[in-house]
Amino acid sequence: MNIVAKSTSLAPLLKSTTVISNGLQPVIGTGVVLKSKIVCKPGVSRLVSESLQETLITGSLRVSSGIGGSKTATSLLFYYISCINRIYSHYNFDYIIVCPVLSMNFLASLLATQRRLAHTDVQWPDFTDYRHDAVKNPTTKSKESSVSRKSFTYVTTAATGVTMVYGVKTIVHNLVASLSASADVLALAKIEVKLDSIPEGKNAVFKWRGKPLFVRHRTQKEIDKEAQVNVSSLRDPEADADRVQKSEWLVVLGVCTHLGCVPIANAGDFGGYYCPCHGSHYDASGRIRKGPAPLNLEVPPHEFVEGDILVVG
Amino acid sequence: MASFLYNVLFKRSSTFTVTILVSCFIFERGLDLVADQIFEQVNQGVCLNT
Repeated sequence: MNIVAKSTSLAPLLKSTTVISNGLQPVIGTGVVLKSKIVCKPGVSRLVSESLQETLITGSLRVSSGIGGSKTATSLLFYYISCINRIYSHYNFDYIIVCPVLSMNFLASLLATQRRLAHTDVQWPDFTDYRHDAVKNPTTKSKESSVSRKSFTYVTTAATGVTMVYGVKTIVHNLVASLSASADVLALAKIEVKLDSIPEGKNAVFKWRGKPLFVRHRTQKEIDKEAQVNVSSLRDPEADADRVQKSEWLVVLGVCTHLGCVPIANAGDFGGYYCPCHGSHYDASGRIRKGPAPLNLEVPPHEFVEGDILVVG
Repeated sequence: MASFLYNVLFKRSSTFTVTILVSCFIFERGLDLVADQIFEQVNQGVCLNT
């Protein structure tokens, strides 16, 4: 029963598919004690921390009691502790495993000889796969490999920079483009209309802020007719003089106040505008006279500047 | 090759910046071309009267 468990005797634990006994020897004269075998998992290549942790003994740990058996248990414990120490030494921790159950004196009394844990068999992770080609050979001089290493770093930086510059350029471009779509510019948009190009009795259509703009050169007959209309008889009472600045020029938005269709000029029962959608009749002053529309055609802010120029907006 | 790149393009910050900006133009042009080509391929349509 004087078995001194050395760390080398536990080395087979690390090897793949090794079957070992738990170390109990049969007692002489009392027959053979047979214990079931412990089957170890296949060994793993301890390359990275994950595979290092796989070498930890996990699950149930068989510990034999008895005078000789505890030595085996102790050595197993030591093995376990040394395993943990190895792993944590890769993390550069100052790490001490304190065994809570067995005091060190008790452990020492169980050991027949002084034992030191072997550290020469520690497999250090192999980082060859992660190294640059220029430094795979550990004897390469740093000066010789510097250009290669720096080039790699700078190429990576430059590639990132190119992508960033491209992305920033795209974002800024889209931002500026969205700004120039311009609520303010459009809102302040004005148009100038040359009035001498519109003959008398004609209605010209322009586009102003996305909507049709009617500029009507009224005849004297129309002007007289609209001036004589009884305002109180209108649905949306507005005098013709309030709607026009120069009586021969009517400027209205060509949007029917009913549902927004574009009325037809010089049509309808009142000689002004007629909306084909639902039959609203406007007179030559753009006022609603018949049909479903509730309001007169809208008069945009406009002014006549020197000569024959009309500015709308 | 690497030493040429390093000495000519990367060693000075000025040339490094110029490298990035110039390759950005090339990159944008190439990316636009490739993206347009992919778009055209996906949307080239089918001819029903074969």
